[in-house]
Amino acid sequence: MIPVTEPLLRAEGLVKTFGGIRALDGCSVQVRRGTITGLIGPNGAGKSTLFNTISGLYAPDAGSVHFAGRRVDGLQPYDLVRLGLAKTFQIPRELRNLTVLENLLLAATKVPGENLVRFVLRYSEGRRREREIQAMAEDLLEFVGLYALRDEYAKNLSGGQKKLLELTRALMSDPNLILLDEPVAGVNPTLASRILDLVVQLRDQGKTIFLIEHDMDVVMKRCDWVVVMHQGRRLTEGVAEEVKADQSVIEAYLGT
Amino acid sequence: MSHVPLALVDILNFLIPAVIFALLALGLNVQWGYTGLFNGGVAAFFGLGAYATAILMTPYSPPNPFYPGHLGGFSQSFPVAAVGAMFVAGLAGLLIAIPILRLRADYFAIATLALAEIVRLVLTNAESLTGGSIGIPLIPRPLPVRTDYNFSTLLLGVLVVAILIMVLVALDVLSGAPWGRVLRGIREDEEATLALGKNVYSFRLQAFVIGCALMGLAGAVFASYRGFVSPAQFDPLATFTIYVMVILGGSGNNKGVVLGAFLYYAFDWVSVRLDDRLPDDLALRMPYIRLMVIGVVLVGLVIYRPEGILRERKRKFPPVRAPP
Repeated sequence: MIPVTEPLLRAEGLVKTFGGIRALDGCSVQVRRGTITGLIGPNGAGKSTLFNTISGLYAPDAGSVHFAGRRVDGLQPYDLVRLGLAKTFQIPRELRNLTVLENLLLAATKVPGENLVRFVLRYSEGRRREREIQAMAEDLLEFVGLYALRDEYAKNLSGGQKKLLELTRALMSDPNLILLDEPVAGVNPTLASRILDLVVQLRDQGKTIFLIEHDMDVVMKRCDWVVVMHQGRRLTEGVAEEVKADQSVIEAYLGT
Repeated sequence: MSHVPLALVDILNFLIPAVIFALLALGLNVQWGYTGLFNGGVAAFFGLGAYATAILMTPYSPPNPFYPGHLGGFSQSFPVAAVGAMFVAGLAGLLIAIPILRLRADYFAIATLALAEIVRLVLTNAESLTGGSIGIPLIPRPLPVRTDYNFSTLLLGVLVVAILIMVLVALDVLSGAPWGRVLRGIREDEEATLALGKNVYSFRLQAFVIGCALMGLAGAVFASYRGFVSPAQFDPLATFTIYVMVILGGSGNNKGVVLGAFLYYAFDWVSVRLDDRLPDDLALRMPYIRLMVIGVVLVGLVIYRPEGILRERKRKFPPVRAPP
């Protein structure tokens, strides 16, 4: 399948330097709506930096990012979450001394009780919203199979479960675009294939997924479109088979 | 004139300072226990609250050859002074936080510790405003009518216990609210909480200012209880005493930090009274022995029970959906 929908995300000419290192060196990518788009490239290619820049954690030194038809570079991460862009971290960043359920509740948006004035003045509205987001969190926990761990501290989860929590948490803001930074790295094959099935289900529900992955098998099987990065730039892109056969990609990985 | 039994006065003279420590510990708990903000300047906000109260409550005191005078002459009631103290300490917290809140934890601690030293030096040297190193004496008790001194202590005791209960209830509600959940998220992982769509800076600012206002309230009670304030009472290093109380009682647990404050002060109170019964050479060494005991207890605590006596409560929510 070749994606022909309009781009939901468009980054152009992104530059991000850290000291003397140009982690992003004029990087341009597009992610089309309703696709699973894979981002591959050798270590140090700038993949995670690209994700952090798109999601507002880093401010780009140059270039622009458009998301859902508006320019978003320079916006704060919380603005982007409200606009429907969620991100997971490569190494799970569970909030250790919060329960699994609390981790999800915290990730919800439009929570009146987070504002002290509204918490006091609109107490019943806040309570209603809390019940809503708790129902949403419980549905999600059931959907991903973490319901039994609802009241467990997040720090007590296994590595794979933390990865799953990371993904589930990103869904709480009901995003249109989800950036997944290596969602199955270091996860056992059974859980990994469950996570990837979930990703496909999310795509089928109309979400757009942009994911970093090293495992070519995963990329071949699940991604509708693949973007290759090398030295802070887009090297090439295409459907998985094309990219896999591309001589420049092989050279980038093997370093010849 | 009512008679207050001396034994009760003794208890009150334990209870009121203990409550002052408890209020300081609660303020620090909002900052450190919930939000992970390392405030090294507790003494500054406590002192500002105490001086604000002194200035608001005292009558006009003209300079004379022995006293530089101080800003004052407002003769306000205690409630007005207490609100003023919270406002001044909270405002100071806001103004210092705006430039330094983006600093990393350790630099934030250094900057706030420096603030405490600056406040102490200003209180000492701005003589015409603060009475210099002598400070401000003759701060009235909360009562509008003149009464027996012991009776005023009793009333202050009742008042401060009421204040403590109100603060405790309010903080329990706020920490259980979604607002408190965000603070705990920031404590666990600031960047992750940012990526989850929270305006981390704003939440940190709110927690810091609320904590400082509570320290100001503690200062208000202190000023009115002692009847005078001077810069020597607000030693910047006293800040770390409050940390001991918070860690001992249970960082992140409001009832725990109150317990920590009471236990710490009880130890101090008992051991000071023990001095009279000890031989002179041992009594002379007691201040150092006290510090040593506290140090050993703190190290033992951090190794064997880092969560404190009362650990932070796990928050469970009854299911909204029927479990599968």
